[in-house]
Amino acid sequence: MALDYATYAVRKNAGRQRFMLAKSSINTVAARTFSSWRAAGFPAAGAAPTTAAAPTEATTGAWGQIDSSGTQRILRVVLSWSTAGGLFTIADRLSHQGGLSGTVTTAQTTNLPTAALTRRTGGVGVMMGLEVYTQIGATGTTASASYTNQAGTAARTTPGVTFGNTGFREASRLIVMPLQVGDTGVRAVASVTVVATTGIAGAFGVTLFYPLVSIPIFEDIHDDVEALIDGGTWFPQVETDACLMGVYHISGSSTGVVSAQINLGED
Amino acid sequence: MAAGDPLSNLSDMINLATGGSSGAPEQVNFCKKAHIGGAAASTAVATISGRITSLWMYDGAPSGASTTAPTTAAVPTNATSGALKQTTSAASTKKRLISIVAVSLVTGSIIVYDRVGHQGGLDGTVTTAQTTNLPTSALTRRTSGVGVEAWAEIYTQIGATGTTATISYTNQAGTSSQTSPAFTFGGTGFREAQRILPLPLASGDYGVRAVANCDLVASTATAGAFGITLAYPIAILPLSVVGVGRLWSATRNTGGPVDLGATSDACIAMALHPNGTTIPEIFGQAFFLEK
Repeated sequence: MALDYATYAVRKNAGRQRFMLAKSSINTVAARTFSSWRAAGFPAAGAAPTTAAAPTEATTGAWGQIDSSGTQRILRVVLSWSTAGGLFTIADRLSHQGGLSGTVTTAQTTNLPTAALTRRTGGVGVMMGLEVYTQIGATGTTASASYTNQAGTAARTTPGVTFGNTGFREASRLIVMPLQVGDTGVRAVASVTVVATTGIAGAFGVTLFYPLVSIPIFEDIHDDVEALIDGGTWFPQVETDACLMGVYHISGSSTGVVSAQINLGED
Repeated sequence: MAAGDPLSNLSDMINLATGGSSGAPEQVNFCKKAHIGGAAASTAVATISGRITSLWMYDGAPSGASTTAPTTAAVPTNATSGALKQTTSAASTKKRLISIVAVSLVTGSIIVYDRVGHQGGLDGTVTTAQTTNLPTSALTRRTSGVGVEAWAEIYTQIGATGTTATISYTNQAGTSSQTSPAFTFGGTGFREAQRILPLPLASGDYGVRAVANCDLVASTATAGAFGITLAYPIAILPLSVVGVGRLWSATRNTGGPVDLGATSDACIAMALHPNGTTIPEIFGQAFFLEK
Protein backbone atom coordinates (compact mmCIF):
# COMPACT_ATOMS: atom_id res chain seq x y z
CA MET A 1 0.00 0.00 0.00
CA ALA A 2 1.51 3.33 -1.04
CA LEU A 3 2.32 6.04 1.46
CA ASP A 4 0.40 9.19 2.08
CA TYR A 5 1.45 12.27 4.03
CA ALA A 6 0.29 10.93 7.38
CA THR A 7 2.12 7.64 7.11
CA TYR A 8 5.19 9.30 5.61
CA ALA A 9 5.36 11.87 8.41
CA VAL A 10 5.51 9.13 11.00
CA ARG A 11 7.73 6.67 9.18
CA LYS A 12 10.43 9.14 8.19
CA ASN A 13 11.22 9.47 11.87
CA ALA A 14 10.12 6.12 13.23
CA GLY A 15 10.36 3.86 10.25
CA ARG A 16 10.95 0.20 10.20
CA GLN A 17 14.68 0.52 10.66
CA ARG A 18 17.35 3.10 11.10
CA PHE A 19 20.85 2.12 10.32
CA MET A 20 24.10 3.90 10.72
CA LEU A 21 27.30 4.02 8.83
CA ALA A 22 30.66 5.64 9.41
CA LYS A 23 33.15 5.28 6.59
CA SER A 24 36.75 6.36 6.68
CA SER A 25 37.97 9.08 4.41
CA ILE A 26 39.08 8.23 0.92
CA ASN A 27 41.12 10.41 -1.39
CA THR A 28 39.23 11.81 -4.34
CA VAL A 29 39.71 13.98 -7.39
CA ALA A 30 37.43 17.00 -7.51
CA ALA A 31 34.13 16.33 -9.26
CA ARG A 32 35.12 12.83 -10.35
CA THR A 33 33.05 9.79 -9.42
CA PHE A 34 34.30 7.59 -6.59
CA SER A 35 33.03 4.44 -4.91
CA SER A 36 32.71 3.89 -1.18
CA TRP A 37 33.04 0.13 -1.54
CA ARG A 38 36.60 -0.13 -0.29
CA ALA A 39 36.32 2.54 2.41
CA ALA A 40 37.07 1.20 5.87
CA GLY A 41 34.80 1.74 8.80
CA PHE A 42 31.33 0.62 9.74
CA PRO A 43 30.09 -1.38 7.92
CA ALA A 44 33.43 -2.92 7.02
CA ALA A 45 35.08 -2.29 3.72
CA GLY A 46 34.15 -4.52 0.87
CA ALA A 47 36.78 -6.75 -0.68
CA ALA A 48 38.06 -6.05 -4.14
CA PRO A 49 36.04 -8.54 -6.16
CA THR A 50 37.59 -11.17 -8.35
CA THR A 51 35.16 -13.67 -9.83
CA ALA A 52 31.89 -12.28 -11.06
CA ALA A 53 29.25 -12.09 -8.36
CA ALA A 54 25.91 -10.46 -7.60
CA PRO A 55 26.42 -8.88 -4.17
CA THR A 56 23.62 -8.69 -1.64
CA GLU A 57 23.00 -7.02 1.69
CA ALA A 58 24.94 -9.89 3.26
CA THR A 59 28.08 -9.22 1.24
CA THR A 60 30.88 -7.69 3.29
CA GLY A 61 30.98 -4.03 2.34
CA ALA A 62 27.21 -3.70 1.92
CA TRP A 63 25.41 -1.45 4.39
CA GLY A 64 23.48 -4.41 5.67
CA GLN A 65 19.89 -3.24 5.97
CA ILE A 66 17.28 -5.78 7.05
CA ASP A 67 15.06 -6.93 4.24
CA SER A 68 11.35 -6.33 4.32
CA SER A 69 8.52 -8.58 3.25
CA GLY A 70 6.86 -5.49 1.85
CA THR A 71 8.11 -2.44 -0.02
CA GLN A 72 10.87 -0.64 1.81
CA ARG A 73 11.99 2.89 0.99
CA ILE A 74 14.62 5.42 1.99
CA LEU A 75 12.70 8.18 3.77
CA ARG A 76 15.37 10.18 5.50
CA VAL A 77 19.13 10.56 5.47
CA VAL A 78 21.20 12.50 7.96
CA LEU A 79 24.69 12.91 6.56
CA SER A 80 27.96 14.42 7.63
CA TRP A 81 31.18 14.45 5.66
CA SER A 82 34.30 16.29 4.66
CA THR A 83 35.07 19.93 4.51
CA ALA A 84 33.81 20.35 0.98
CA GLY A 85 30.49 20.07 -0.76
CA GLY A 86 29.50 17.40 -3.21
CA LEU A 87 26.86 14.85 -4.12
CA PHE A 88 26.25 11.73 -2.05
CA THR A 89 24.52 8.99 -3.99
CA ILE A 90 23.10 5.85 -2.42
CA ALA A 91 23.22 3.06 -4.96
CA ASP A 92 22.41 -0.63 -5.20
CA ARG A 93 25.51 -2.56 -6.20
CA LEU A 94 24.02 -5.16 -8.51
CA SER A 95 26.96 -7.05 -9.96
CA HIS A 96 30.71 -6.82 -9.79
CA GLN A 97 33.92 -8.52 -10.75
CA GLY A 98 37.62 -7.71 -10.74
CA GLY A 99 41.04 -8.84 -11.80
CA LEU A 100 41.30 -6.68 -14.92
CA SER A 101 44.65 -5.14 -15.79
CA GLY A 102 45.68 -1.64 -16.75
CA THR A 103 48.40 -2.97 -19.06
CA VAL A 104 46.55 -5.59 -21.12
CA THR A 105 45.55 -4.21 -24.51
CA THR A 106 43.51 -7.09 -25.86
CA ALA A 107 39.85 -7.61 -25.02
CA GLN A 108 39.85 -8.71 -21.38
CA THR A 109 37.43 -11.43 -20.36
CA THR A 110 38.98 -12.44 -17.03
CA ASN A 111 36.17 -13.03 -14.55
CA LEU A 112 33.69 -11.88 -17.19
CA PRO A 113 30.88 -11.86 -18.15
CA THR A 114 29.41 -10.14 -15.12
CA ALA A 115 27.05 -12.19 -12.98
CA ALA A 116 23.43 -12.10 -14.08
CA LEU A 117 21.42 -9.36 -12.46
CA THR A 118 19.18 -10.51 -9.64
CA ARG A 119 17.68 -7.05 -9.15
CA ARG A 120 16.75 -4.48 -11.82
CA THR A 121 16.92 -7.46 -14.13
CA GLY A 122 15.61 -5.57 -17.14
CA GLY A 123 18.74 -3.44 -17.10
CA VAL A 124 16.95 -0.13 -17.73
CA GLY A 125 18.77 2.57 -15.80
CA VAL A 126 21.49 0.18 -14.68
CA MET A 127 24.81 1.97 -14.93
CA MET A 128 28.18 0.47 -15.72
CA GLY A 129 31.40 1.62 -14.11
CA LEU A 130 35.04 0.66 -14.33
CA GLU A 131 36.04 0.54 -10.68
CA VAL A 132 39.73 0.84 -9.80
CA TYR A 133 40.84 -1.25 -6.82
CA THR A 134 44.60 -0.81 -7.14
CA GLN A 135 45.87 2.30 -8.87
CA ILE A 136 46.64 1.84 -12.54
CA GLY A 137 49.18 3.77 -14.55
CA ALA A 138 49.86 7.39 -15.36
CA THR A 139 49.73 6.92 -19.13
CA GLY A 140 46.40 8.10 -20.38
CA THR A 141 44.54 5.98 -22.88
CA THR A 142 40.95 4.98 -23.56
CA ALA A 143 38.80 1.99 -22.64
CA SER A 144 35.54 0.57 -23.87
CA ALA A 145 33.30 -2.32 -22.93
CA SER A 146 31.22 -4.88 -24.78
CA TYR A 147 27.87 -5.40 -23.11
CA THR A 148 24.28 -6.59 -23.33
CA ASN A 149 21.82 -3.73 -23.28
CA GLN A 150 18.41 -3.27 -21.69
CA ALA A 151 16.70 -5.03 -24.60
CA GLY A 152 18.86 -8.13 -24.23
CA THR A 153 20.93 -7.31 -27.31
CA ALA A 154 24.48 -8.53 -26.87
CA ALA A 155 27.75 -7.24 -28.33
CA ARG A 156 26.96 -3.59 -27.83
CA THR A 157 30.04 -1.40 -27.54
CA THR A 158 30.41 1.67 -25.37
CA PRO A 159 32.09 4.77 -26.73
CA GLY A 160 35.65 4.90 -25.45
CA VAL A 161 36.30 6.72 -22.19
CA THR A 162 39.46 8.27 -20.83
CA PHE A 163 41.34 5.66 -18.79
CA GLY A 164 44.59 6.00 -16.88
CA ASN A 165 46.48 9.13 -15.78
CA THR A 166 45.39 11.65 -13.18
CA GLY A 167 41.70 11.58 -12.44
CA PHE A 168 41.23 8.25 -14.19
CA ARG A 169 43.55 5.87 -12.33
CA GLU A 170 43.10 6.28 -8.60
CA ALA A 171 41.93 3.59 -6.22
CA SER A 172 38.17 3.75 -5.65
CA ARG A 173 37.71 5.72 -8.85
CA LEU A 174 34.46 4.70 -10.55
CA ILE A 175 34.52 5.62 -14.23
CA VAL A 176 30.90 5.62 -15.36
CA MET A 177 30.59 4.29 -18.89
CA PRO A 178 28.45 5.83 -21.63
CA LEU A 179 26.31 3.59 -23.79
CA GLN A 180 26.08 2.88 -27.49
CA VAL A 181 23.60 5.08 -29.33
CA GLY A 182 20.07 3.91 -28.59
CA ASP A 183 20.72 2.23 -25.26
CA THR A 184 19.34 3.07 -21.83
CA GLY A 185 20.84 0.39 -19.63
CA VAL A 186 22.99 -2.67 -19.12
CA ARG A 187 22.23 -6.27 -18.28
CA ALA A 188 25.72 -7.71 -18.51
CA VAL A 189 29.28 -6.89 -19.55
CA ALA A 190 31.25 -9.38 -21.60
CA SER A 191 34.64 -7.74 -22.02
CA VAL A 192 36.68 -4.59 -21.50
CA THR A 193 39.29 -3.31 -23.93
CA VAL A 194 42.02 -0.87 -22.94
CA VAL A 195 43.48 0.63 -26.10
CA ALA A 196 47.02 1.15 -24.83
CA THR A 197 48.82 0.24 -21.63
CA THR A 198 48.51 2.71 -18.76
CA GLY A 199 51.97 1.65 -17.61
CA ILE A 200 50.87 -0.09 -14.41
CA ALA A 201 48.67 -3.17 -14.20
CA GLY A 202 47.00 -2.22 -10.95
CA ALA A 203 43.61 -3.86 -10.70
CA PHE A 204 40.19 -2.81 -11.79
CA GLY A 205 36.82 -4.35 -12.49
CA VAL A 206 33.35 -3.81 -13.81
CA THR A 207 30.60 -2.74 -11.42
CA LEU A 208 26.94 -2.60 -12.40
CA PHE A 209 24.98 -0.34 -10.11
CA TYR A 210 21.66 1.43 -9.83
CA PRO A 211 21.61 4.86 -8.17
CA LEU A 212 18.67 5.18 -5.79
CA VAL A 213 18.91 8.73 -4.56
CA SER A 214 21.44 11.54 -4.75
CA ILE A 215 21.82 14.14 -2.03
CA PRO A 216 23.57 17.45 -2.71
CA ILE A 217 25.77 18.50 0.16
CA PHE A 218 26.56 22.17 0.44
CA GLU A 219 29.05 24.22 2.34
CA ASP A 220 27.83 23.28 5.76
CA ILE A 221 28.76 19.64 5.09
CA HIS A 222 26.03 18.37 7.35
CA ASP A 223 22.60 17.74 6.06
CA ASP A 224 19.33 16.20 7.10
CA VAL A 225 17.51 15.16 3.99
CA GLU A 226 13.90 14.16 3.98
CA ALA A 227 12.59 12.46 0.90
CA LEU A 228 9.56 14.70 0.66
CA ILE A 229 11.27 18.01 0.10
CA ASP A 230 15.05 17.79 0.18
CA GLY A 231 15.05 14.48 -1.64
CA GLY A 232 12.99 15.96 -4.43
CA THR A 233 9.81 14.17 -3.40
CA TRP A 234 11.29 10.82 -4.26
CA PHE A 235 11.00 7.75 -2.11
CA PRO A 236 13.52 5.28 -3.51
CA GLN A 237 12.64 1.66 -3.08
CA VAL A 238 15.28 -0.57 -1.54
CA GLU A 239 14.75 -3.94 -3.13
CA THR A 240 15.12 -7.22 -1.29
CA ASP A 241 18.78 -8.18 -1.00
CA ALA A 242 19.91 -4.74 -2.13
CA CYS A 243 23.63 -4.19 -1.64
CA LEU A 244 23.70 -0.54 -0.68
CA MET A 245 26.83 1.50 -1.25
CA GLY A 246 27.86 5.10 -1.66
CA VAL A 247 28.89 6.86 -4.85
CA TYR A 248 30.71 10.09 -4.14
CA HIS A 249 31.23 13.30 -6.04
CA ILE A 250 33.05 15.91 -4.03
CA SER A 251 34.55 19.30 -4.75
CA GLY A 252 37.67 18.55 -2.75
CA SER A 253 40.42 15.95 -2.59
CA SER A 254 39.04 13.71 0.14
CA THR A 255 35.68 12.77 1.56
CA GLY A 256 36.66 13.02 5.19
CA VAL A 257 34.86 10.64 7.48
CA VAL A 258 31.42 9.98 6.07
CA SER A 259 28.81 9.28 8.69
CA ALA A 260 25.15 8.82 7.98
CA GLN A 261 21.93 7.73 9.53
CA ILE A 262 19.48 6.27 7.05
CA ASN A 263 15.82 5.76 7.92
CA LEU A 264 13.90 3.16 6.01
CA GLY A 265 10.16 2.82 6.08
CA GLU A 266 7.70 0.39 4.63
CA ASP A 267 4.67 1.19 2.56
CA MET B 1 -10.80 12.32 -10.06
CA ALA B 2 -10.27 12.05 -13.78
CA ALA B 3 -6.88 11.22 -15.19
CA GLY B 4 -4.85 14.33 -15.71
CA ASP B 5 -6.46 16.26 -12.86
CA PRO B 6 -4.02 18.37 -10.91
CA LEU B 7 -2.45 16.86 -7.85
CA SER B 8 -4.61 17.49 -4.83
CA ASN B 9 -2.02 17.99 -2.13
CA LEU B 10 1.25 16.65 -0.76
CA SER B 11 -0.45 13.48 0.35
CA ASP B 12 -1.62 12.88 -3.20
CA MET B 13 1.91 13.41 -4.52
CA ILE B 14 3.43 11.08 -1.94
CA ASN B 15 0.84 8.48 -2.80
CA LEU B 16 1.60 8.72 -6.51
CA ALA B 17 5.34 8.75 -5.96
CA THR B 18 5.11 5.55 -3.96
CA GLY B 19 3.09 3.78 -6.63
CA GLY B 20 -0.44 4.45 -5.46
CA SER B 21 -3.27 5.48 -7.80
CA SER B 22 -1.29 4.31 -10.86
CA GLY B 23 1.29 6.99 -10.22
CA ALA B 24 3.89 4.97 -12.15
CA PRO B 25 6.85 6.59 -10.39
CA GLU B 26 9.87 6.52 -12.64
CA GLN B 27 13.50 7.28 -12.13
CA VAL B 28 15.98 8.00 -14.93
CA ASN B 29 19.66 7.77 -14.04
CA PHE B 30 21.84 9.76 -16.40
CA CYS B 31 25.37 10.75 -17.11
CA LYS B 32 27.02 12.85 -19.78
CA LYS B 33 30.69 12.22 -20.53
CA ALA B 34 33.12 14.87 -21.70
CA HIS B 35 33.23 13.58 -25.26
CA ILE B 36 31.23 12.91 -28.40
CA GLY B 37 31.83 9.76 -30.40
CA GLY B 38 34.32 8.34 -27.92
CA ALA B 39 37.16 9.94 -26.00
CA ALA B 40 39.87 9.19 -28.55
CA ALA B 41 38.28 11.03 -31.48
CA SER B 42 35.88 13.25 -29.62
CA THR B 43 34.31 16.16 -31.45
CA ALA B 44 33.28 17.87 -28.21
CA VAL B 45 34.89 21.27 -27.97
CA ALA B 46 35.84 23.42 -25.02
CA THR B 47 33.04 25.52 -23.70
CA ILE B 48 33.12 29.29 -23.66
CA SER B 49 32.15 30.95 -20.44
CA GLY B 50 28.72 32.46 -20.73
CA ARG B 51 27.87 30.74 -24.02
CA ILE B 52 25.39 27.87 -23.99
CA THR B 53 26.65 24.40 -24.91
CA SER B 54 24.29 21.73 -26.16
CA LEU B 55 24.67 18.33 -24.52
CA TRP B 56 22.43 16.67 -27.11
CA MET B 57 25.23 14.79 -28.82
CA TYR B 58 27.40 14.07 -25.79
CA ASP B 59 28.14 10.44 -25.03
CA GLY B 60 26.26 9.27 -22.01
CA ALA B 61 23.75 6.98 -20.41
CA PRO B 62 21.09 6.96 -21.74
CA SER B 63 23.09 7.41 -24.90
CA GLY B 64 23.55 10.73 -26.60
CA ALA B 65 23.01 11.37 -30.29
CA SER B 66 26.78 11.01 -30.74
CA THR B 67 28.06 12.24 -34.10
CA THR B 68 24.68 12.13 -35.84
CA ALA B 69 23.35 15.65 -36.21
CA PRO B 70 19.74 16.29 -37.20
CA THR B 71 19.04 16.78 -40.90
CA THR B 72 15.43 16.69 -42.06
CA ALA B 73 12.95 18.42 -39.85
CA ALA B 74 11.63 16.16 -37.13
CA VAL B 75 9.91 16.14 -33.78
CA PRO B 76 12.22 14.36 -31.33
CA THR B 77 10.54 12.26 -28.69
CA ASN B 78 11.42 10.27 -25.62
CA ALA B 79 12.66 7.56 -27.96
CA THR B 80 15.23 9.78 -29.67
CA SER B 81 18.83 9.25 -28.67
CA GLY B 82 20.02 12.30 -26.82
CA ALA B 83 16.89 12.39 -24.67
CA LEU B 84 16.48 11.12 -21.11
CA LYS B 85 14.10 8.50 -22.50
CA GLN B 86 11.59 8.40 -19.69
CA THR B 87 8.63 6.20 -20.59
CA THR B 88 5.55 7.54 -22.34
CA SER B 89 2.73 8.19 -19.91
CA ALA B 90 -0.40 6.07 -20.11
CA ALA B 91 -3.16 7.14 -22.46
CA SER B 92 -4.67 10.45 -21.41
CA THR B 93 -2.47 10.48 -18.31
CA LYS B 94 -0.07 13.31 -17.76
CA LYS B 95 3.60 12.71 -17.23
CA ARG B 96 4.96 14.99 -14.54
CA LEU B 97 8.52 15.87 -13.66
CA ILE B 98 9.06 15.90 -9.91
CA SER B 99 12.72 16.69 -9.53
CA ILE B 100 16.18 16.54 -11.05
CA VAL B 101 19.47 16.29 -9.23
CA ALA B 102 22.88 16.62 -10.85
CA VAL B 103 26.55 17.34 -10.35
CA SER B 104 28.94 18.71 -12.94
CA LEU B 105 32.62 19.02 -13.72
CA VAL B 106 31.97 22.61 -14.77
CA THR B 107 30.27 25.40 -12.92
CA GLY B 108 27.32 27.00 -14.58
CA SER B 109 23.66 26.11 -15.04
CA ILE B 110 22.11 23.02 -16.53
CA ILE B 111 19.12 23.91 -18.68
CA VAL B 112 16.57 21.12 -18.83
CA TYR B 113 14.18 21.45 -21.75
CA ASP B 114 11.70 19.63 -23.95
CA ARG B 115 13.22 19.45 -27.41
CA VAL B 116 10.02 19.90 -29.42
CA GLY B 117 11.55 20.24 -32.87
CA HIS B 118 14.86 20.22 -34.70
CA GLN B 119 16.48 20.14 -38.09
CA GLY B 120 19.92 20.64 -39.57
CA GLY B 121 21.90 21.00 -42.75
CA LEU B 122 22.09 24.79 -42.76
CA ASP B 123 25.25 26.39 -44.09
CA GLY B 124 27.42 29.11 -42.59
CA THR B 125 28.34 30.51 -46.00
CA VAL B 126 24.94 30.80 -47.74
CA THR B 127 23.69 34.38 -47.78
CA THR B 128 20.24 33.84 -49.21
CA ALA B 129 17.29 32.79 -47.08
CA GLN B 130 17.95 29.13 -46.32
CA THR B 131 15.01 26.74 -46.45
CA THR B 132 16.92 23.44 -46.52
CA ASN B 133 15.09 21.01 -44.24
CA LEU B 134 12.73 23.83 -43.28
CA PRO B 135 10.13 24.65 -42.14
CA THR B 136 10.48 22.91 -38.82
CA SER B 137 8.01 20.12 -38.20
CA ALA B 138 4.63 20.97 -36.76
CA LEU B 139 4.73 20.92 -32.99
CA THR B 140 3.17 17.89 -31.33
CA ARG B 141 3.86 19.23 -27.84
CA ARG B 142 3.46 22.81 -26.63
CA THR B 143 1.46 23.21 -29.80
CA SER B 144 0.47 26.78 -29.12
CA GLY B 145 4.10 27.76 -29.25
CA VAL B 146 3.79 29.81 -26.08
CA GLY B 147 7.13 29.66 -24.31
CA VAL B 148 8.78 27.75 -27.12
CA GLU B 149 12.15 29.21 -28.01
CA ALA B 150 14.03 29.01 -31.29
CA TRP B 151 17.73 28.24 -30.99
CA ALA B 152 20.45 28.12 -33.61
CA GLU B 153 22.41 24.97 -32.79
CA ILE B 154 25.82 24.49 -34.40
CA TYR B 155 26.83 20.90 -35.17
CA THR B 156 30.03 21.53 -37.15
CA GLN B 157 31.98 24.72 -36.56
CA ILE B 158 31.14 27.55 -38.88
CA GLY B 159 33.42 30.42 -39.80
CA ALA B 160 35.43 32.99 -37.93
CA THR B 161 33.90 35.89 -39.79
CA GLY B 162 31.26 37.44 -37.64
CA THR B 163 28.02 38.47 -39.24
CA THR B 164 24.36 38.61 -38.32
CA ALA B 165 21.33 36.55 -39.21
CA THR B 166 17.56 36.53 -38.87
CA ILE B 167 14.89 33.87 -38.90
CA SER B 168 11.42 33.97 -40.34
CA TYR B 169 8.96 32.20 -38.09
CA THR B 170 5.36 31.69 -37.02
CA ASN B 171 4.65 33.07 -33.61
CA GLN B 172 2.48 31.85 -30.73
CA ALA B 173 -0.60 33.44 -32.26
CA GLY B 174 -0.14 31.55 -35.50
CA THR B 175 1.07 34.64 -37.38
CA SER B 176 3.60 33.60 -39.98
CA SER B 177 6.41 35.55 -41.59
CA GLN B 178 7.49 37.12 -38.36
CA THR B 179 11.11 38.24 -38.59
CA SER B 180 13.43 38.05 -35.63
CA PRO B 181 15.77 40.87 -34.76
CA ALA B 182 19.21 40.26 -36.18
CA PHE B 183 21.45 38.14 -34.01
CA THR B 184 25.22 37.71 -33.99
CA PHE B 185 26.37 34.68 -35.96
CA GLY B 186 29.89 33.41 -36.67
CA GLY B 187 33.10 34.49 -34.99
CA THR B 188 34.39 33.45 -31.57
CA GLY B 189 31.63 32.47 -29.20
CA PHE B 190 29.13 32.22 -32.03
CA ARG B 191 30.61 29.56 -34.26
CA GLU B 192 31.76 26.56 -32.23
CA ALA B 193 30.34 23.08 -32.49
CA GLN B 194 27.75 22.37 -29.79
CA ARG B 195 27.05 26.09 -29.43
CA ILE B 196 23.42 27.06 -28.84
CA LEU B 197 22.38 30.59 -29.73
CA PRO B 198 18.96 31.46 -28.28
CA LEU B 199 17.24 33.63 -30.89
CA PRO B 200 15.32 36.83 -30.11
CA LEU B 201 11.76 37.31 -31.26
CA ALA B 202 9.98 40.21 -32.85
CA SER B 203 8.50 42.74 -30.49
CA GLY B 204 5.28 41.43 -28.98
CA ASP B 205 6.03 37.76 -29.54
CA TYR B 206 6.58 35.25 -26.80
CA GLY B 207 6.71 31.95 -28.57
CA VAL B 208 7.40 30.07 -31.75
CA ARG B 209 5.32 27.49 -33.58
CA ALA B 210 7.57 27.03 -36.58
CA VAL B 211 10.64 28.45 -38.31
CA ALA B 212 10.51 28.87 -42.07
CA ASN B 213 13.98 30.06 -42.94
CA CYS B 214 17.27 31.43 -41.69
CA ASP B 215 18.99 34.29 -43.50
CA LEU B 216 22.66 35.20 -43.01
CA VAL B 217 23.67 38.72 -43.94
CA ALA B 218 27.18 37.62 -44.92
CA SER B 219 29.22 34.45 -45.11
CA THR B 220 31.05 33.33 -41.99
CA ALA B 221 33.63 31.86 -44.41
CA THR B 222 33.15 28.24 -43.32
CA ALA B 223 30.08 26.23 -44.21
CA GLY B 224 30.11 24.02 -41.15
CA ALA B 225 26.64 22.82 -40.29
CA PHE B 226 23.96 24.21 -38.09
CA GLY B 227 20.26 23.88 -37.53
CA ILE B 228 17.23 25.28 -35.81
CA THR B 229 16.09 23.70 -32.56
CA LEU B 230 12.75 24.47 -30.95
CA ALA B 231 12.97 24.16 -27.20
CA TYR B 232 10.63 24.53 -24.24
CA PRO B 233 12.72 25.22 -21.13
CA ILE B 234 11.53 23.36 -18.04
CA ALA B 235 14.11 23.78 -15.30
CA ILE B 236 17.44 25.34 -14.55
CA LEU B 237 19.91 23.83 -12.10
CA PRO B 238 22.54 26.31 -11.01
CA LEU B 239 25.80 24.53 -10.22
CA SER B 240 27.94 27.06 -8.46
CA VAL B 241 30.80 24.83 -7.37
CA VAL B 242 32.57 22.11 -9.32
CA GLY B 243 31.65 18.76 -7.85
CA VAL B 244 28.80 20.05 -5.67
CA GLY B 245 25.41 18.72 -6.62
CA ARG B 246 22.16 20.61 -6.95
CA LEU B 247 18.56 19.49 -6.65
CA TRP B 248 15.80 21.09 -8.64
CA SER B 249 12.52 20.25 -6.93
CA ALA B 250 9.29 21.04 -8.75
CA THR B 251 7.56 21.34 -5.40
CA ARG B 252 9.92 24.07 -4.30
CA ASN B 253 10.50 25.79 -7.62
CA THR B 254 7.13 25.68 -9.36
CA GLY B 255 4.66 24.76 -6.63
CA GLY B 256 4.14 21.27 -7.94
CA PRO B 257 5.23 18.71 -10.52
CA VAL B 258 5.79 20.01 -14.05
CA ASP B 259 3.13 18.92 -16.51
CA LEU B 260 4.78 17.34 -19.56
CA GLY B 261 1.47 16.66 -21.27
CA ALA B 262 -0.99 13.82 -21.65
CA THR B 263 0.26 10.59 -23.19
CA SER B 264 3.52 12.44 -23.07
CA ASP B 265 6.50 11.55 -25.22
CA ALA B 266 8.46 14.62 -24.19
CA CYS B 267 12.05 14.69 -25.35
CA ILE B 268 13.77 15.85 -22.18
CA ALA B 269 17.27 17.06 -22.98
CA MET B 270 19.94 19.21 -21.39
CA ALA B 271 22.20 22.11 -22.23
CA LEU B 272 24.83 23.81 -20.14
CA HIS B 273 25.37 27.50 -19.58
CA PRO B 274 28.96 27.26 -18.34
CA ASN B 275 31.12 29.48 -16.24
CA GLY B 276 34.35 28.02 -17.53
CA THR B 277 36.04 26.34 -20.45
CA THR B 278 36.20 22.72 -19.32
CA ILE B 279 34.26 20.24 -21.41
CA PRO B 280 31.44 19.21 -19.12
CA GLU B 281 30.71 15.88 -17.51
CA ILE B 282 27.45 15.39 -15.62
CA PHE B 283 25.93 12.75 -13.34
CA GLY B 284 22.42 12.76 -11.96
CA GLN B 285 18.87 11.50 -11.78
CA ALA B 286 15.42 12.67 -12.84
CA PHE B 287 12.17 11.61 -11.26
CA PHE B 288 8.71 11.42 -12.79
CA LEU B 289 5.21 10.36 -11.91
CA GLU B 290 1.90 10.17 -13.74
CA LYS B 291 -1.58 11.41 -13.07
